Amino acid sequence: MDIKGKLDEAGIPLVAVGSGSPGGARHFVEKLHFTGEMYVNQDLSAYRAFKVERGFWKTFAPASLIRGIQAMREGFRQGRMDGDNWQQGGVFVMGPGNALIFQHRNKFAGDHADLDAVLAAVLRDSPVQPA
Amino acid sequence: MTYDELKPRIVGITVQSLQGNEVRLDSLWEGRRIVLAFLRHFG
Repeated sequence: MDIKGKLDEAGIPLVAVGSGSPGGARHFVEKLHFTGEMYVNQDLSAYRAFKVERGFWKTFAPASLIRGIQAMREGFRQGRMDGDNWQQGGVFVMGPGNALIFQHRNKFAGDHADLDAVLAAVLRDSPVQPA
Repeated sequence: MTYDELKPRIVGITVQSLQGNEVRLDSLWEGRRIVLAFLRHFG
C-alpha cells in the first residue's frame, strides 16, 4: 500500500501546496489522480514561513542531477513545469492545533522525506487511531 | 524549528484553493492532524 493509502487508513488528510498556478494544480491533480487536498501559494510566503529551501544550485546540485538520471532510467519524464523553478519541497506533519510533529526540507531536488518516518510521526500520539 | 518559532511566521499567510478561495494557512491543521507537502512545482 502506498503512503496515501496508509494515511487514508489512519484518517489523516494529505494536503499539498504548490508554487504554480491554479490551472497547473488542476492539471497535476487530474494527471496524477491526486486525491488529497490541493492549494497554491504563488508568492511563496508559506514556503518561506516554513523555511523550505530555494535556490538555483539546490535545483541543479550534483545529487539532483544524479537523482534525475535515475528517475529517467526508471521511466519518469519531466512534463510541462508550472511553478518556481528554484523552489524546493518539504514534508511536515502538523496538528491538531499548535503542533509541529515532523519536518523535512528537501536540501536539493530529489532529496525526499523518509516516508516510513513520516508515517511513524503521523501515528505518534495520533488523535485518530487506525482501525 | 518548533511550533512556537513557526507561529509568528505564519500570521496572515493564506493559500489559495483550486476554487479560488483564500484559506488561512494555519486553519489547514486546526482541529486535525495532516501531512502537509510543499511541492517543488507542477509537472
